[in-house]
Amino acid sequence: MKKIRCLVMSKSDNVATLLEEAKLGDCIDYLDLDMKNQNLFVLENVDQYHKVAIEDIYRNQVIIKYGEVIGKASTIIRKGEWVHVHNLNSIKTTD
Amino acid sequence: MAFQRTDGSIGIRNHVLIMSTVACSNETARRISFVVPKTVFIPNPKGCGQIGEGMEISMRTLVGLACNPNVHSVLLIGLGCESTKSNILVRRIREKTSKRIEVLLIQDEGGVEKTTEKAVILANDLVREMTLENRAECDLSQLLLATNCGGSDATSGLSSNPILGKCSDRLIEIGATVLLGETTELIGTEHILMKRAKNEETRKRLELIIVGLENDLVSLNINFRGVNPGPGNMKGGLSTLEEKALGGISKGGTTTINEVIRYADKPQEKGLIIMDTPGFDIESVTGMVAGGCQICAFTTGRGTPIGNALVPMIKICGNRESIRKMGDHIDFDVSDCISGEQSIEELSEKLYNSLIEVCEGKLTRSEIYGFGEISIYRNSEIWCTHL
Repeated sequence: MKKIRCLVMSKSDNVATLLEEAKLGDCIDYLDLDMKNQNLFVLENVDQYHKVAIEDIYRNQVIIKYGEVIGKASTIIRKGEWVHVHNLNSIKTTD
Repeated sequence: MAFQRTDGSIGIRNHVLIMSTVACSNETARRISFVVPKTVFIPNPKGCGQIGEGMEISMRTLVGLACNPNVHSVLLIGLGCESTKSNILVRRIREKTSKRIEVLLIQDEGGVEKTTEKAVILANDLVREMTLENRAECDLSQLLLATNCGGSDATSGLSSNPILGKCSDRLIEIGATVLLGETTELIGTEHILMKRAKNEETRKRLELIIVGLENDLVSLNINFRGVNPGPGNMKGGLSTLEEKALGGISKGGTTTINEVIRYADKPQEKGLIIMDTPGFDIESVTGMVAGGCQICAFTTGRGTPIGNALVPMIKICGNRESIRKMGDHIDFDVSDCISGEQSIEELSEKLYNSLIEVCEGKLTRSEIYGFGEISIYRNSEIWCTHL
């Protein structure tokens, strides 16, 4: 089983950014808030440089990357799911 | 080791600058610089037919370029009837620096050939003086780093910008100054930047330039949704405007924003400074160099070969494919951070050392190519609009 490398830009992030393409069932590992190794399984195919949820996220919960809010979840997102324009809305460019 | 200037600033290069005050004298000035190879030439695409704020921005930028600490001395070549009056330029430069400034006006000297003859003698004299200067131990806290990103892609926000950001933090820690600009690229992060403002005045100025610009764009019916991030950005993994802009501002580091200044103004504070500049790279860097930056760190994903006439521009790229295809102008490869071979910390340490080497005299690729792009931002003009 292939280990996929990813970047978690800050300790408070709830998404990881993949450094390589991942297929359903691949495992990604990252360091958590306490600098401990964590891993999770990817629940669908995700392209290189795209994001994956590293914890369950509720509808309307903020998505955090670089330690800052990058938008809000438009639906419930499970740990391991792809996070992109289909389930993540900008707060800035919404009416 | 750098060139200590009498006003306390330090230069990491020692240029004899031949600057044209107006487009009409460009070719004469260019020819003079060609005959005296150890000079640097900056042409002026305008210098006349400018009014109001556009004229003031031009003047301020020309003054700033002449005053830049990397400049040893200046030979101004003008025509004589231009709006950019050389006596006003010289007066404004003199208010800020005691370096040698010479002026020749083609109409006063009596034509191209007489001006060229006199100018070559003057320029050679300046070069002789310049070569007598030596580097000495200097205070690095006198350094001002210009930052810029151009040709960005998905790797920019994941590697080159965060890595440069760590260097920015480190420079600020030792008392130096870092400039962050390109106001269009700050839209989406104003709430974050405003929280980091040193005081209420700085906070208000941040809001003024970023939200002000956004409102201007909206009133012109330019809507961001679906446009920024664009389809290419989204395909590359960027989902929202906030995410894209956050990737960009990370190159300025994480410290307090101490001041917000106009295009081509000199900062009064140290540390992290925001300069209001356009998104167009060459104009943005020119503004920062006019503000006193002696060195520029430029992150790119897709690559761009530009340089600057007065300051070394270090190109930083995290896209291994770009480097493989067209890496001849890239100075610092951070793609190891994407491949996992090195960490962001390790690479930022190396980048910092590389920056110091460039300060001490190591040439960047764009300097070796002799590329010296300069472009002064112009406010919109009013002519030719009615047909």
